Amino acid sequence: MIDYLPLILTIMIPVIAGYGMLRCIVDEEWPVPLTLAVSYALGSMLLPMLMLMYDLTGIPWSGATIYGGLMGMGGASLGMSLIRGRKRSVEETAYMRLVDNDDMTTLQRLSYALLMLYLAVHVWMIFWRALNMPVFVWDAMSTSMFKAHVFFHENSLASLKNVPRPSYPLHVPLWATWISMNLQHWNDQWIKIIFPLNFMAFIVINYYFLRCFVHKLWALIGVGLIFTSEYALSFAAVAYREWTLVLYNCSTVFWIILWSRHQKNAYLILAAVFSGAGTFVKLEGNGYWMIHMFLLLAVLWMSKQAIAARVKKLIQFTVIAIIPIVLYAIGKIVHGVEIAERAGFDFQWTDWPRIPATVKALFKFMFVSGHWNILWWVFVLSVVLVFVQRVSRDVYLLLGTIVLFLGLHFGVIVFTENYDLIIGYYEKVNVPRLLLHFFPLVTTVTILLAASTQPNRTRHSLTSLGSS
Amino acid sequence: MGYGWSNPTVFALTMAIILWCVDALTYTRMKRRKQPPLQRAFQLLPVYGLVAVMVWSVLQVPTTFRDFTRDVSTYSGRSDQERRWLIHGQPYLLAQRIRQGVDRPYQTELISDLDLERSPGFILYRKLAYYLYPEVALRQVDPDRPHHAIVYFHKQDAAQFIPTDYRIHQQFNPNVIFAVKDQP
Repeated sequence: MIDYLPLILTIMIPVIAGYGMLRCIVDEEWPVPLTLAVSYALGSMLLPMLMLMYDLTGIPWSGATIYGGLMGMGGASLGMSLIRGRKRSVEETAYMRLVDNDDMTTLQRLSYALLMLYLAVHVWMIFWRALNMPVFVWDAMSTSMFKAHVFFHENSLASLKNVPRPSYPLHVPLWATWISMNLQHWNDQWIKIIFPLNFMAFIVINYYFLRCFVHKLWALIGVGLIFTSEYALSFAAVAYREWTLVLYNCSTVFWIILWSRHQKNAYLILAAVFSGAGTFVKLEGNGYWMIHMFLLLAVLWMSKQAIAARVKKLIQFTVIAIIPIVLYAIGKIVHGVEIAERAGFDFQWTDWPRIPATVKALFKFMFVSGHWNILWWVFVLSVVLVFVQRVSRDVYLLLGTIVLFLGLHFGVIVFTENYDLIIGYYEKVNVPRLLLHFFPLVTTVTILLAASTQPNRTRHSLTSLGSS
Repeated sequence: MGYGWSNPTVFALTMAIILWCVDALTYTRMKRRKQPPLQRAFQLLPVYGLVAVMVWSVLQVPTTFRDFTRDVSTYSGRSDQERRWLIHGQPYLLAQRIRQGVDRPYQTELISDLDLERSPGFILYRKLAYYLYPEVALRQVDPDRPHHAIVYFHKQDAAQFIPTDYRIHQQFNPNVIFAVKDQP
């Protein structure tokens, strides 16, 4: 039992630092679960960046230096927010705009409670599996946890160029290193604590994003759809980096859409921070960063702001999001590691059979494989609604983003050297994982469209849905 | 985790037929609403889709709980070492024995008849490397330091391939040998 204390501290200190950063960015009142989830996500991003910066500047990794750095960052951010907060009166305090729940019927409340119980049982199973089964999945044994093992024993990134896949981003390996440093031994069960936590943080953020559009039963059904996919759930309990990437990738899309609705600069800053953090989780994060830029450009293009203001927002987003990319690029140069691994284009016209094979694989793993319940079918059926009734701009933005994700993966598979790694022998493993990176956007669109067909009880939410 | 029904297309079509029948039975009531039937049908699609998702999920519940109960009965009450052995089997046991037998760190290479880029060789090799570390470095290769040990793993008659300046440190069977270079 006493061993749990360092594990809890390992998680709590970055969360406190993340909370400081959150308060510095956001000046409105948020529900506690959302505050915790976003604080965790921010702290989870700060820790590996801090370890990377220490490595670059020659500061040794130790409990004192890392705890000190995190507490320093958190304290400074909180101090700044307090100074700023003192200038505002109580009346000025803003609250996150969520849809009202006052008119829920008894049946709806009962359904909400039952669904919550269903989700809670699944969450418990995920945590049990994560903490009671050692690392066993391919990625972890081969790269991420193997690297962490090396970094932990050497207490530095000195061997970065000698480990397998050295240019892969280091968010998860550095987290596992940090946990092991606190436990003072390599425990390949407890280092997995971050995976269900990343999953839960995303579920909470997704829930509150939906709560900005629909009432709480619909929002809970929305996140409940993710739980109906056994495949998606299975990734929350094992040492794959997919849900960590989903946390940053899909949340970025949510923040950009919330920013486009409310024009609160805090949402744009959060979007930039999350988008940049995604690039430090997996190589795909770099491609997703470009999609986030496209989405932001679309929002800015539709905006009625002056050109100068729009350019300023674009620069603000780019500068913040690019920090992790630049830092890690410097880290790679310092350690003599290739900067752009797996980014070469090698398509020739003789490779044209790649196109039908790629389309076939994508179709197979979206609609026929059984990985996603029947959610891709329901999504496609729901999208038909776009042609027969008015839907909000936000839904169009989400749909456009999903198309961009599919297009990106199609392009990367067909036109780059990654074809042989994704299609064919490995497609059963790799294609569904690529789809998982934006799968929650599919469930989000589905639930927004389904809710938009419902009269009476959710009408107020439809007003907000159709208002923008 | 279990997957319950394995073909969503069959399930989606079955549900579509059932829900279409339900909708057809209530068609008279719908006509009274003076809503264009096609538009109403499209509006019903997402909600009926969600109903189908729920039905699928309910069908999955027994499989989910059966799999979870199986995992609990397999892993609870066991030590970390037993859990690793249950999941990883031979590579874990072999790595543990090699690590326990060495008195200093080794920079090592692997020689095997297995295809290390295809299953099962590619995962066995990586599991072995993962559990050999840190005493025996198999995949964390420093080009500035020469190899001074060899793991023969699933190598037919491994002994005949051992270089003359190496000696057998541990032999597990004729196909699995850990050999180290003689100290100068």
